[in-house]
Amino acid sequence: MASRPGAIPPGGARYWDVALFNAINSFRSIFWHEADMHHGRRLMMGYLAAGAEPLFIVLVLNLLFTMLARHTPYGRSSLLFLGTGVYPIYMFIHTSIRMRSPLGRGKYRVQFPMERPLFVLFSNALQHYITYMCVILVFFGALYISGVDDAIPYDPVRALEAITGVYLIGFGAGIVNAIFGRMFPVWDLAWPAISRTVLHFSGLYYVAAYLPPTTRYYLLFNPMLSGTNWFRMAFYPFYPAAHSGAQYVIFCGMGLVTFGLLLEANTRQYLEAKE
Amino acid sequence: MIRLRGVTHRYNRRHVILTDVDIEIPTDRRVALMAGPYSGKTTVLQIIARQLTPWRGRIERTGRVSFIGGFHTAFRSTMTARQNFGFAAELYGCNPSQVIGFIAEISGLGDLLDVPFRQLGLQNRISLCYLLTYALDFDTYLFDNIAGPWISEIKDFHKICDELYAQKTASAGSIFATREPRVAVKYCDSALLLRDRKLYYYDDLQEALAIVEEDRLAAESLAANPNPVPDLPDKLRALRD
Repeated sequence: MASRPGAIPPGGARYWDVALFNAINSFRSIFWHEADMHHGRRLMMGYLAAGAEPLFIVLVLNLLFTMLARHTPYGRSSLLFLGTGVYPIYMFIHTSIRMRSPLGRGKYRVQFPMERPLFVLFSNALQHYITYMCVILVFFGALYISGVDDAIPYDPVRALEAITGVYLIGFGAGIVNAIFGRMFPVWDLAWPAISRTVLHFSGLYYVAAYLPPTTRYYLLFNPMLSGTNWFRMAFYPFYPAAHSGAQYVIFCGMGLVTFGLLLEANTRQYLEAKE
Repeated sequence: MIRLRGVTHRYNRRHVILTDVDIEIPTDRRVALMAGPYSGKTTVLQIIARQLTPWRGRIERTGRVSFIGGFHTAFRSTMTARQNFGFAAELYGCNPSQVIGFIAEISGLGDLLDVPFRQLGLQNRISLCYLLTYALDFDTYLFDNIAGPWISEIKDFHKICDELYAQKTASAGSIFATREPRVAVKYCDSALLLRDRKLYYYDDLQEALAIVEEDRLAAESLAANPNPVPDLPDKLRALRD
């Protein structure tokens, strides 16, 4: 009855061919299915929810700056300075929280065998990346329309690289969190609170280069501070970020993703048996 | 062909299901997976279906192996049956409209396909999940004890399932877990026996059934006399006499 392009041809199967077809087909199906579930009928609500929290933080901090009559630490617009800090940081926070769900507790019981954990993980990751990029585009686009000319980055490629680097750290942290959360359930409750402390250590409302050398030395171990600096360098041509490095962000991101995937592969059977 | 290579699976240290199993199971035969109660038939089926990861070893599948017939936990309760079945069809490389059309035609529940899955009655949900198994094209179908539910709001549903089973297995294989010889005879023509934590394939179903019967008699006699007096050595017997 139904067509089946992935079926193995009789006598002489090209297994890698079929496996590749199945992988692409599964990935595509899961991607659209997840999109339907998360955003489906409440498409606008889904995107609004993703962008509401960082927008709220930007507006509250901007209000505080205004009430305290404090000038923006760098540049002309405090909204832009705060936005270039909040959005990369929230890219990390939300990614590290959301990437727990595809590998969540007992998930293997409520999925078709064809929904392999890594397909579900990567399709969720891609979907989250696209969603967040839309949220960021809307924020900076609105800022530009409202009269902040610098809201369009002078180096868009660098902005894209920076946000992708930060996303990589969030993705890796999300995989590790998913596994830790299954091993130690309390971790699932603790991580959202812990991750939000990153806001204060990642240069959201200060410029790292202006801090005392000792404080800066210790803060720069936090890769998110380098990620924020990297993102701001795309908006401010002379942003003082000599102390932080893009390589460090990539290195931490790749390291976390590799560690997370290895951890997932090596604990899969143990966790299934435990649950 | 489904190949199990060095597969070991256990729930814990004491409850071992399979120990270092190496076997090839044909994908074009109707195979009865037989063993006594609580010996792990469903677990073996779940391992073959990739619903469980074995403790050790690997499994190679050179054909499309189904999920266990009637598998329903993968459906999202907030989505409609149409959305759920459409997703399953796409996931398994089938045409969603053909699959949904097939289910609607056989079940006669066309109107109910557009309400959220959780609003369907339990019987309807299970019946639709069995129909989905038959609507998708596989090289090997997996069933646990039944080919379709006996209780359903769809009239004569188990008979419909039996017909669909016969139609599908005319050109595909199946693995049917059961401990009842009459069920094995009805649905299968070869057997896979789970004995002493190993799997043994028998091309001839009758040969396998004879072994199952022997095992059953042995188990019954053990149950009737749990501590039999061992045969005494000759010298002791002479002393006793």
